[in-house]
Amino acid sequence: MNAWVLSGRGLGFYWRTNLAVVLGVAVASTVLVGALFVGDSVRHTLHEQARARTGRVTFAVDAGDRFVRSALADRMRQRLGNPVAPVLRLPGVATRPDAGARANRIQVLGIDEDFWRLAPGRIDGVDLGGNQVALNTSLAAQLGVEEGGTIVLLVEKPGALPRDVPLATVEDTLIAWRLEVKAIVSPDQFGRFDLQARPAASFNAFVRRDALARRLARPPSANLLLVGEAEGNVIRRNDVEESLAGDLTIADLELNFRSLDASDGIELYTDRIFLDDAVVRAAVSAIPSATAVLTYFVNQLRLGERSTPYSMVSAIGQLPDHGESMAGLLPADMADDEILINRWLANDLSAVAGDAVTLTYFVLGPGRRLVEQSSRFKVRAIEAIEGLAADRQLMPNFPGLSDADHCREWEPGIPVDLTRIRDQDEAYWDAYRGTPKAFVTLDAGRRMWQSAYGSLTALRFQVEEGMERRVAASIVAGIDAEELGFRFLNVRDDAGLATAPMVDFGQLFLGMSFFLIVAALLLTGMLFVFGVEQRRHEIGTLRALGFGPGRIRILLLREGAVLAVVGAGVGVLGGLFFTRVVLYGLGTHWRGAVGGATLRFDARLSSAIVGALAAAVAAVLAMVWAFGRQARLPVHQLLMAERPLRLSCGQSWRKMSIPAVLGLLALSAATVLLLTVDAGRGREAAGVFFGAGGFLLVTGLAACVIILQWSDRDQGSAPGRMALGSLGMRNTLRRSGQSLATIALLACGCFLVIAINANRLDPLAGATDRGSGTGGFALYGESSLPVVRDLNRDEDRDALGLSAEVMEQVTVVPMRVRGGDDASCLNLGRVGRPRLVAVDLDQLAGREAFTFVRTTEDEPAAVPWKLLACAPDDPVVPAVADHATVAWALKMNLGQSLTYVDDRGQSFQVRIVGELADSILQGNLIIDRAAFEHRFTSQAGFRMFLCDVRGNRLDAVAAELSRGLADYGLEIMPTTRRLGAFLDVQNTYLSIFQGLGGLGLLLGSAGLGMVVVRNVLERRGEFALLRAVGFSRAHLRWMTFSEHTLLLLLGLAAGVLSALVAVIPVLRMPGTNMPLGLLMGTLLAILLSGVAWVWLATCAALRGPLLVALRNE
Amino acid sequence: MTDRTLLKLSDVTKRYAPVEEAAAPDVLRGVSLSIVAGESLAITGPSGSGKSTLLNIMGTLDAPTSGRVVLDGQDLAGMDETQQARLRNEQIGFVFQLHHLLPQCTAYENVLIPTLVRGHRIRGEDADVRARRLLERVGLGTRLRHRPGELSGGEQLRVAVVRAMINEPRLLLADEPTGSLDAGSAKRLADLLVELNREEAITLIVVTHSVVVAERMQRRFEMRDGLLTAAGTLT
Repeated sequence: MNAWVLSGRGLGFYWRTNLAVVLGVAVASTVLVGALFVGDSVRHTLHEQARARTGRVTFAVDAGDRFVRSALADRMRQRLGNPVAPVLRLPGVATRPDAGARANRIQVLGIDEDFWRLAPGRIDGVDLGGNQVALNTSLAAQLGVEEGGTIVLLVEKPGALPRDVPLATVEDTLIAWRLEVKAIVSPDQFGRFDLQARPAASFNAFVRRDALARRLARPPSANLLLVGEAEGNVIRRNDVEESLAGDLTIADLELNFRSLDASDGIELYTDRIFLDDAVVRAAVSAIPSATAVLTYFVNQLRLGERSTPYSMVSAIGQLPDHGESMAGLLPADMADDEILINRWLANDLSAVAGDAVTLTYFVLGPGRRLVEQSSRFKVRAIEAIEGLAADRQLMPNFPGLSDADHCREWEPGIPVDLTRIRDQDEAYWDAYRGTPKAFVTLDAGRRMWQSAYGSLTALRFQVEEGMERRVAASIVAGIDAEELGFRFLNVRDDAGLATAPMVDFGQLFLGMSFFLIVAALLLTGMLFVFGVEQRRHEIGTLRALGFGPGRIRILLLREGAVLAVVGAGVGVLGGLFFTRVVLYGLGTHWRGAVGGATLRFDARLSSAIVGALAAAVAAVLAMVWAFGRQARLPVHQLLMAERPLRLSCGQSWRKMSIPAVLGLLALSAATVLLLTVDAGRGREAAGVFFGAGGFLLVTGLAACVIILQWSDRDQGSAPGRMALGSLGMRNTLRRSGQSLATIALLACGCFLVIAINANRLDPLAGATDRGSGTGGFALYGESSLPVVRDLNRDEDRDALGLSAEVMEQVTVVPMRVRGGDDASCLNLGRVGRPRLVAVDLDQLAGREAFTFVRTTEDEPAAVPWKLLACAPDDPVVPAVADHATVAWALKMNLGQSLTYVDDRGQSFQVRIVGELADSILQGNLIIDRAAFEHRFTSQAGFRMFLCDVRGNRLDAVAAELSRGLADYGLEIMPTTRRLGAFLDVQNTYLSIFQGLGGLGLLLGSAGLGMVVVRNVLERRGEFALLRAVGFSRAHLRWMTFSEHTLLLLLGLAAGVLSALVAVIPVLRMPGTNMPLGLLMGTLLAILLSGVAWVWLATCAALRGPLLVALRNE
Repeated sequence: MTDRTLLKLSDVTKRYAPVEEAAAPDVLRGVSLSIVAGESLAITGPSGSGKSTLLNIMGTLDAPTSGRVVLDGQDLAGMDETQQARLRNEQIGFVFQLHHLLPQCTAYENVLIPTLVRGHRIRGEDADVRARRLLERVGLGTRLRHRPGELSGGEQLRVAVVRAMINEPRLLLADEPTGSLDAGSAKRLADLLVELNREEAITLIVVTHSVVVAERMQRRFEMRDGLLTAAGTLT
């Protein structure tokens, strides 16, 4: 015999009670372990997703808007010793030839066999023919095609310049490509390849890289290099950077050399028209003496009433210093306001030296809009068209100009009135092509035509023929690839970040199951103590035999610990089931919570151990709490046949004083909060009201204590007035701690149920308000390909075939987009660099669109959007993001910054200065358009649109825009639908919380039943007496039922009343949709459940021959 | 009082807390008593007279409102809870009217429970051996593995007596031990108690309504209205 045997005997003998305790612990453990398993499953899913997205890719080099030769990948492969796959990646749109299905925003990936070697699984690649395509499963499903089917791909044909830059042609930007579906590739086959984290798998179409390059009229090239892992050869970012720097060639930078026809030497030029500043710096550094050329297309040269349309004008100068211009074309002392004109122009304008000639030309204005400007020059001299003045090579390869046989065939990408072209202009073109008609100094030219894309069109060097290679090597060696827009991506690290859940689902479900866990633990504690009380005589005996209270406590809690461990173990099995149920829910009814992602089950041993251990410890603590002073009661009381009722008479006032003081303090705090809060400050006030509600909840609970104490005191002081209905009310005080715990649980549960329902948001509610989550906009659109046309201009609408009638009174706010991770709540994983979206601030500020939750300013700004204003070259760019994006996806706070790299390789900070309330802009960082355009010169056009639609023409406008912009892959939807998708996440979480909380409340009401049973069993003597003096069993049932229903009603009243105060501001906010029916139903269910438990417990406890209790007495 | 005095009560009173204006009831009104080691003593009296309260105070299960209780030279009022528990375990044995056997344990295990506090050896003898020996002595040698629910009332009471004896206490307190027994069983129990008192030199105090049991004790007292009288004399 030892203490363990004694405990073992107790465990076996009281197995019924113990089983109930085990079940209570098992419920808590099930929920705890299950929540952790859900977290495991989410992490596992994210890990699988990241693996499927990135395969064996460790690093990537994104060439931005440049195209490197595919041979670069071969050189890097040799240098690094790792696989390197060149990829030609372009955005596109896919359709079925019968137009029966369409997929926007797809990735068209030109790949070869190197790509498949980086797949997550060891697979055989897909051997594609020139007109064949492999689709990933999601794209195939979207299009509804199978192997052997046919699709049409629309791919943007990359231009030499961003499409919205003047001189970049906007016509013929798309190629349509009819392809046979050769294969459908699974995620294991790298079908899900994507360097960016998104909620759902991207649509991928794989084609042969060389075939795609041919379609684009480019040599074998790539704009993305994927570096894979190699066994035993770990590489770092530095290795990749060094490899790229060492292996780049001048051709990879889209630079060319050509021998000059009109003079000795060579010229460095680019098909991109403008030489990047970084290239110029490297070239001048390599060869100090270079002649710089900036040739520009001017709209007109005017002298008085005479004018010459559409001509080339060159600015020429020496770099790095001003000096004698090459071949002496420009006089050394030529001033910046002087111009040389050729004989033809002089004749055309009847100009002589000393005349003032006005040049008119387009430049990039704010928002990359074309602005026509003019400059006046004094004619310095007139040059014959010979020598350098006859150099056709001065004109860069302007798309739409250089290859035109006739002026009237020009398609320069800027508004050109071809009717102004005269016969003599055609004759000049025939004779001299684009030979400049005038020359100005380099400074003058730069002042007029310099842009973010560069300030030179060519550099000329006086070197011996055949020196190009050495010059090229020197230039390449002096260039930092990142300055030209190359980006190094640490794919493995980024994917690792994406495997970290945006929200820890384990903790989330723990939080949402809080009430269920607390209720289960409360019930466990009560069941345990119920069992202990059954063994009151045993405790008394042990005390009499010399056991100290501490020792008895340990003895019984040891039994409790065994029960807790067993229950926790059972809970692990329950947790597996719970997880399956939750995952099923998240895959069906609760799909909105995870943005439609399919979660895969995973359960880790560590989670099982932690969850079970936590449940066991919590259960033991609950037992310790509930055990109270059981073992410390006087021994003679413990050994008495009936547990004596503690005497409270004469002490009621003192006992009431503590809750009274506490209640008054809480009431005062609530009053102060309610009187001082500025109710007009929207969501900021919500927290204050919630706090006030919380204080009122404390007040309510204190009032419950006082009510119970008062009833007890009343009965004690006036026994003559005792009535049957109130006879047992004071008996609720027999277990005052547990009665109050039950009331508190029910009150807190009701409080949260109401608060949760009040926070349920309806995207349709107040959707037309500017302050709502839609910003008052009716439609939201995103396009696959950038739209360079202005959707608010009639000419552009005409060009797109948009009906003027339908588009009447439709205003579009276009936004530029820099690709990045989706940082919305639809994405489960954390993100490093969210998408940047640029907007014209005035467009949103003028409308006072959206609501700011808070800003970095102490005082709320009148127009918070103005906080985004900054100088374009400011190293810190202010940004606004949705509160959910900042708090959950980024785990950041206001005032913190993210580092981005612009197209010149310059790092800059994006500082969060404001947070928006739930809005359709979620997932992005919104910055000023001017700052964006300065930083991201390669980003053309607009890819995101907000539309104001007046009148009830939403569907018609959406259909018209979808039709007109079909080739751009525009997906347009009502803003309410987009907002609904985001709100669905929150609302679904609330539903889950409500569901799990509801279960907790049911258990809580079961706890109330437990209180009933215990009270009745303790009072069996009293009931026996009442039966003996003539009360019927029904009388007793009613008495018991009524007194315990009081507890239930007190709990509900305290919770409901305080919650109503807490949710006042939420109810006043736009978009709030309190489902009164559901709420009332839930509260009614709690009430009915409580009543049912009380009734069942009453009936069960009063069963059996009560009069036996009298004989025991 | 001589050096052999084991228990001495001096002017012990017990009063419970008053209920509102009602006067506080005096359960014990200045009880004084001196008991010599090895003596046997019976306390009789009507229900509610304070017999059990007095016994509980003697056994440290309850505390007096005033007065002194000295056991073997130790003033019980100066002891904390732990010291009292140790005293009960080592010096005092209890036999209750309702036996209070642990229903989940066998007769043998019930007997051994007091030994769990200190260890399994009692003055050099193994507790297991002593438990078997005592149970055989009271005629329960064949009922060792039976649980209380499988024993008769008399058998349960004998188990309770053996449990009270297991740690070789100096004082055995029995509260209405025969209250639930028939006359034959009551007589056998009285024989057992007397025998133990004699052979083990245990001081025995029995609260009882039974004249038969009381007459077997060396001294007899009557409790009435909180006052203890011996042989018709107020103490």
